[in-house]
Amino acid sequence: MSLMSLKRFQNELIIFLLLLFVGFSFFYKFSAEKSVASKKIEIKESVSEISKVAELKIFWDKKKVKKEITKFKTMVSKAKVKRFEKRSGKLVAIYKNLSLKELNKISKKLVATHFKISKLNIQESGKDRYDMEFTCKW
Amino acid sequence: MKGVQILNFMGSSKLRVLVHKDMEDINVKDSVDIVLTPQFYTFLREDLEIKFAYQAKKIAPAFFDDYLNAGVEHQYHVYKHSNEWYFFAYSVEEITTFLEERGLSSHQIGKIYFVQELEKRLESPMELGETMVMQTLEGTVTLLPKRLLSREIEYQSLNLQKEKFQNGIALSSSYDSIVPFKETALLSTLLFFLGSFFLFEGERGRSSIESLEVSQTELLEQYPKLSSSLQRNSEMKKYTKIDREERVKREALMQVSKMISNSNRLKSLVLNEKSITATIKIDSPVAMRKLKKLAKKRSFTLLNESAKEISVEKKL
Repeated sequence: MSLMSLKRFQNELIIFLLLLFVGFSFFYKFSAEKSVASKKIEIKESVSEISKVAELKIFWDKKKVKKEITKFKTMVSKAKVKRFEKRSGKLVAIYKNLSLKELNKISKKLVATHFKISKLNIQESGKDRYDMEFTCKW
Repeated sequence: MKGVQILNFMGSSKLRVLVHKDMEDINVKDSVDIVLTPQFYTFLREDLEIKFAYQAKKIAPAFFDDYLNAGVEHQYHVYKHSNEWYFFAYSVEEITTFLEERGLSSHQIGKIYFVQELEKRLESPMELGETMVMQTLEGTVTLLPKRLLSREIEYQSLNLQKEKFQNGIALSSSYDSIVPFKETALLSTLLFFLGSFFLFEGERGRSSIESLEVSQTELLEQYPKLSSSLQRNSEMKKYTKIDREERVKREALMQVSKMISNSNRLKSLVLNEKSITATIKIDSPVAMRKLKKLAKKRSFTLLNESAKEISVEKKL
């Protein structure tokens, strides 16, 4: 196309180029919005996952459990603690002749402590007296 | 450069060239404005009740019907002078072809003026080449053969750079474009702003996720081990399982504890990974019915039942 022809259709050419520019920028906006939307979902999901895993890790934190475990030994008198065996992430505790109040106290602590309760056995041993045995892991 | 009026000392910054058939070659590199002599245009004046130039331009071709060669494409230019409309018909093709022969490329042509604008200035004659003279006769700038004028006549000289031209037209807009210049300018501005707006919006969208990315980075800095999605999924599975199972166990224990009241007491409770079983002693049939109802409501199944004792179980 000669320079004269270009000059002749200069106005139309300018409009055509600007229409191309508008088309390109619209496509850019459209694709940017699309990629931003998917990126947003991806980041939100990732943040939510990280937060949830972090929250769970903190909740079931082994270090905290280790501190709490020793309290099970001192909650009732020594005479009633027949066995208290703690080794490699596992605790076996046996209590004898617990009063209702003591049983409730240990049970509440058991429920509130963040470890795995593998086994729990409560047996009535007399009037308002109970034997208790539990195994927990962390 | 005999015959070509080029001066660039004052006035317009562009050179002005008077275009006539006897002009000599032009040797310039920059663009120039051209001033057409009557050899390159046809001029008509009309006293019309028209307000705007675009209206006059629309009807211009009709005025020149009888004057122009139908085989040549013409362009038209119109402006108002005093009470009359001045109409010009010219051929860009003819002008550019001629000027290219004289060494001036079409892209070097800036504005086109018509020497008719100098009608007052050309009251006295001016030499145009060896044989022609240019002079205003009855308000129209006309070309005359030099031989028709007296030999003693004194010709004036003309410095185009000093003359004031008001009704020029750009070569690019001289064509009868489908889209006129004004509309092009308006539409171009609108399109430019629209395009820029889209670009800006796109860019704004991209920067909007920056804050999210920052919070993600901060979180990952705190828990670098969780940056891998595989690691996250594995930890998530592990802890979700523990969390779910232990919550179920604790909830079941709480439910059993809520079943115990003044009218009954716990005889035994066994909890393991799979189930929870509770045996409860009951004092009265009313309390027994209540307890059975409560156990059923809390999804416990009845294992054993006697007059004063009941065993319930729940799978975990």
